[in-house]
Amino acid sequence: MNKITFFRIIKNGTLNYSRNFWLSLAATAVMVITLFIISSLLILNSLTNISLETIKEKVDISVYFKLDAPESIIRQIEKQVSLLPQVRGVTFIPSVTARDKFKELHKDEPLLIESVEQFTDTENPFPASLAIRVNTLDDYPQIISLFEDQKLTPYVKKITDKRDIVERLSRITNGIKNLGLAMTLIFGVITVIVMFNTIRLTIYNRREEIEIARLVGANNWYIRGPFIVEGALYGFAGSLLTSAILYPIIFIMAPKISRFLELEVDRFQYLGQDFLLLFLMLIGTGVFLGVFSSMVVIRRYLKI
Amino acid sequence: MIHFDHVTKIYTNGTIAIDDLDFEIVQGDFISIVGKSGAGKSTLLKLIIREDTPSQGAIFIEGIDISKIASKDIPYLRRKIGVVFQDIKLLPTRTAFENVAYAMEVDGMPRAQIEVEVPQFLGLVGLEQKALAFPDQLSGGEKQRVAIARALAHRPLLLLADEPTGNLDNVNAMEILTLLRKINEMGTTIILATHAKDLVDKIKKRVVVLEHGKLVSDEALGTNNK
Repeated sequence: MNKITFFRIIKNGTLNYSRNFWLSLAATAVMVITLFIISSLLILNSLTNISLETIKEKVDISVYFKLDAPESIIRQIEKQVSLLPQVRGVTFIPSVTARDKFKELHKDEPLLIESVEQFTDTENPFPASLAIRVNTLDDYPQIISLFEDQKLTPYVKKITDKRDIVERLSRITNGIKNLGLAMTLIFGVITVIVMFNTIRLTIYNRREEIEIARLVGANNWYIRGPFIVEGALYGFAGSLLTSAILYPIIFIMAPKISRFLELEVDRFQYLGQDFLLLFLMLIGTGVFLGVFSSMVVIRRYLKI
Repeated sequence: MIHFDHVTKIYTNGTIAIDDLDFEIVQGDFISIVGKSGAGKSTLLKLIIREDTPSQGAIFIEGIDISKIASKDIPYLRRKIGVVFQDIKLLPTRTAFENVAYAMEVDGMPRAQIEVEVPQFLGLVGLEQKALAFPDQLSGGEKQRVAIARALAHRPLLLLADEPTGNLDNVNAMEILTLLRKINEMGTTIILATHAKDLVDKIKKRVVVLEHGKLVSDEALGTNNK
């Protein structure tokens, strides 16, 4: 195929697109819907992942010690625990700090504050605790079993395990992923069907020209190429339109979502950085769907 | 140049369109294939341009069995053969010039060459003045001449004309035949399929008569000119 033929194929494909403008517009619109759904789901997925990560970071094992447990022992335990390879960090929260935290948390409830202030420092009812952050959730049981050891049980009052929160969140995330995948597949199929019929109509509209092209000795690619270009154009136009709709929405929504999820990342870090990637992915998906549809039509309806 | 070697074509519905056809066309021939509709003329032309393949036998063009050509090479066979139809098949949205140019575009001919050659072909068929006219603005005879110009665009070795005068009055039909003879004199082999026996008798060239797919006569100078 020489350069001239290549440009003529592109030109004829563009003509296919523009001659049936309204039909092409409808096909492009369906493409936009699909791409929009796919990219929204991707963003939702990455958002849930990010928030899950953030929550995982925040979730720790809190080991509350009995009031009579001496601080020196707790410090010793802290030291030993912090040496474990699974442990990312240990924070000692003395009972005084625990009380301050409680006060801070309930500062709008004067009755509670008042009752807490009844106690002097020495009879402070808030237990001292160790907040242990581990590397992965799987390390939880090991750490917990450590404190259930007979040597430590006399000092330990309570161990809170927040794994179930994380697990519930993981399930939600997985649910979103599966739903997203199903939606993507369904709309992908719908898009292919719509593209398929649009291109089939184009072939039907141009059947005369195709017949003549064959008779004057046009080679296969000269005849088929324009329809593949047409399919690619649906994808390309669709992804441009989707981006035009999507990016302003991201731009407006990102700070709000960021605030809502209490994420300590600014929007450009988790979405902005991926702008280009998302754009390329949109074009890639769109063009793939378009070209795939036209390939199917050509195989079925364009006998050379 | 073209050799039909015991060619038989049976369609899947059982119709025998061509029955054991065995004859030769030499370079520079002007051969008319005459027969009623259904005699197998169109099937014969379809077999030559590899629209279809014989059920039995083989067709050799310049020594090559065309049913053995790979499908990707069929376009190159077709560029050696110009085709003209009764229903003309011009693209209605393109001018006479563009219709002829179309045949040149498909094999990647550069624009500059097209600009030079199309007027030459239109001149050959006597339509250089009508280059910018759309098919709607041309008469039946003129349209057929544009189609002939298009068929010549690849400088074919062989020109197939399937009932080119079928929709034309006698005067226009004769003009087309005269044009075909002129093209033949310039060296192109011509196969003319028609049911108009009286017309082909006037041009005094080889005539092959088909009946029910069988060759019933093959005369060098027309059927009535013995």
